[in-house]
Amino acid sequence: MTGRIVLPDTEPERPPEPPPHGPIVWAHENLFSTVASGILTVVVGTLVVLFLVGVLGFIFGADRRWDAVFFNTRLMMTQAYPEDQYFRVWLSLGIIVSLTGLSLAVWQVGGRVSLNRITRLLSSIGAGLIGLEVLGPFSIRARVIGILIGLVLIGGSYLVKRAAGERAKQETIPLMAIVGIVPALGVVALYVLRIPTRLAEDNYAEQVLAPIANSTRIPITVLFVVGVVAYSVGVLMLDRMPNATARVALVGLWVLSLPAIVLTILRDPELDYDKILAIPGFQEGYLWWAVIFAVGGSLLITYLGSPARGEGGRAIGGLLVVVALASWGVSMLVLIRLFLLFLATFALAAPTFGGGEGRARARIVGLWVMTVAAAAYFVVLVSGPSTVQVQTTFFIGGLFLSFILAIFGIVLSFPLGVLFALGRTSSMPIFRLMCVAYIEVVRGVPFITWLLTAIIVFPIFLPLGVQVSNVVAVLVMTVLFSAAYLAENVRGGLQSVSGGQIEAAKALGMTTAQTTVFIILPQALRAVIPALVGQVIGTFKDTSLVIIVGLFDFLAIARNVIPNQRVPFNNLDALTEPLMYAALVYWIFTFSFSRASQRLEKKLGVGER
Amino acid sequence: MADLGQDDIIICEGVKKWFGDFQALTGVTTRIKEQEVVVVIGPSGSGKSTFIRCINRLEAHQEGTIVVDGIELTNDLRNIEKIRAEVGMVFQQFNLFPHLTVLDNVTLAPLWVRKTPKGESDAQAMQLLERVGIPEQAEKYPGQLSGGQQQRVAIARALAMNPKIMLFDEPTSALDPEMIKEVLDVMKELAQSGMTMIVVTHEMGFAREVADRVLFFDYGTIVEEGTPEHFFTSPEHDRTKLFLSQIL
Repeated sequence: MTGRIVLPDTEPERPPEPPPHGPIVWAHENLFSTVASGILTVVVGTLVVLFLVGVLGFIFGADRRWDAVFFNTRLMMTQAYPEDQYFRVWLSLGIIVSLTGLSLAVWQVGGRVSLNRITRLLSSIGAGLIGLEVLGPFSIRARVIGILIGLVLIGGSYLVKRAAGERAKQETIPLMAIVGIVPALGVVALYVLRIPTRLAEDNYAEQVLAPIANSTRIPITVLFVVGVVAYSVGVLMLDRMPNATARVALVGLWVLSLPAIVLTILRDPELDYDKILAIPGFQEGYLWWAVIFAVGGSLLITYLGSPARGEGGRAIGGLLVVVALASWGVSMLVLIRLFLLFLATFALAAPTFGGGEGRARARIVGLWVMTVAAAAYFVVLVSGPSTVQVQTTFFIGGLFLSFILAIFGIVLSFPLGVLFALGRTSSMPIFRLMCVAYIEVVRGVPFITWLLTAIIVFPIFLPLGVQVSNVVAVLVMTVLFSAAYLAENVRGGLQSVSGGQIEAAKALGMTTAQTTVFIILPQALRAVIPALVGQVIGTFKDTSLVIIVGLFDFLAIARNVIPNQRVPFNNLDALTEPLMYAALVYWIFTFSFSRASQRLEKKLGVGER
Repeated sequence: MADLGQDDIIICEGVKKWFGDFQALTGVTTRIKEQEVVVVIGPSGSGKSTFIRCINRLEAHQEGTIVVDGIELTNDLRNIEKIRAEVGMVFQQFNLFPHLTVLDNVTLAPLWVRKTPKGESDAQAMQLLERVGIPEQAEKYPGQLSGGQQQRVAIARALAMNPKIMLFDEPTSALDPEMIKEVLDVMKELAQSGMTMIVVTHEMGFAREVADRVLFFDYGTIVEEGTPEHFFTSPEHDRTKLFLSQIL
């Protein structure tokens, strides 16, 4: 019934002429197009070369001593985590690596790249290597080897490109196969490299070059294999199960694994089974409370989610919110308070998102039972003391502490930031005013001030008998602080969603909550990915400020491990290598994050509506 | 004018609406019967879009009464959502959801507003896409379709809620000339199937061919109304004559 428009298929007779190209054309167009620009190119080029010679000479110079970094690796990673418990650290890393491998495969990160691009990448690496060897302060032998490798890379990629011919543009290779080479080379390096090693525990002067210890290289090799296996399993999974299911399952695993790693594996809590299994009272009986809430909550959610109830069931949800908030004023298990809070949220959401289908309601009930189980599990774990005996305020420090603060800070502040953004753009004046006040106050005061506030002022407002460790106080502050900034970024996204979208959703009879969740937020968040990534990177780097309140994060330890190993000792000079090392580690993480987000942006097609 | 029959599905009495100091509707009174196709025409700024947007309360009127399918439009949110579910709307700018596939665009509202099971709503959506002639585009995103195809998806999306009334707000004004026909064809087929439709449009051919009644709007009110024959051949009002002389 519709007329389809058919375009006449007149292919042009001869193929289009290729535009003029080649390095000489490029240089002429971009570097020497006029006399002035030629002079500018020569002058700036000379300055850049001189700058690079200086910087490389500083970094790779003969008087750099990296032994401080090698000696203290363990300290910088985990602070004083007991050596005999180190398998817990490796196990945690193993979980993270396998989840990363699975996620990379299931989300098809990177996709496939053309042979053409790979050869271009390889020859630029070769050129970079040659440049590095020429400009840097290396021995003749190192220079010759480096330049040879560079030439092999350039020549090899040229030959491959020649051999492939026209196919080089169509032939594709999974990007991960290329990216995977980097950790593979790292693992090989573990067995080839020799690092400065002390001859005796307390003798810093006498050092020899020795192979890396097996206790380091074997776990890392295993981790690499685990990562590769996980990625392959992920690729196989892609063919066997619906993609959406795999993604939801993986997100769930990530969310669960983070507290599981921190609270159980690393913390190794001591459990009080008498309290857990006791007859339920307001101070004990964790297990039975969980059962009571799981069953009772399921019944309530089923009742509220049935289509016959309609949206009127929200009143019960509202009542539950009041009860849940009031429960914080009464002495009882924290677990019960949490359960009430969660139940109120579920009761509010059930009428809108429960769906009339039996299966949709079964899903939300299943989610409730899992929430109860997870909450009970983690609260029980946290309430037991840690068996990891360390003489500091927290059982772990170093890079691991930085990660814990960054990951939890980002993950927890995200929903809060979205809520504040929605509040700030809401049509309810009181709500809006509260959110504006919160955001402006938090953003108007330096983060360090807030950190000190968290340690000194917060405890005054806590209910009697409740104590929080410094790490928890700092984490809460990170979340609250980051949420204010996130809120402003998300608000930008909310404003970019056109009014027509909201009208279309409303015209279909969707409620405000449904419109927000299904229409506004997905588009708003997609529009502000660059700003959100900037915020995430900022949060990660800001974790280095916690030294102010006495927590030893990665940078803090890098600054503190130094003053012993250099004879004659010079404090300022001795800081150089660990600081460069810290900078490199921070840079590797933030840079890979920014690259990954750029690919994500491309994949979600920002800007092509 | 229309009698007080039971089959009046929309009743408007003295509807007035202001945007700030500007009065967009100056008292609109009309009744629309079930299965009737009403085409609204008039110069820009005459209030015709505002009028149909009042019918599903995308705009709130300030005076007068509007009764849709026996429910009076007031500030009661639950009534508004109920009416919006019964009244489909197609916009000039399509307003498809760019982050969802065509199929998801069509099934979203049935799934969450009507609470239709997924399998059922998917099957219904495919039927509707077939009806508007683009079942093969179900897995694509709106940005990958032509304007005419997007507007047909928008019609399918509105129909997925099984509405009793369809509102069209200049559905072909943002389209290239060669795509207008494919959208009008879908609308004609819809009119023949017995849907109650209110169409704001500048397509006089469509009005002449499909409409049961034409409303001519100016200065925020109905200046003249009648059957297409009467309207296009022997208009009574001077304002109507001037308008027709300029566009025909």
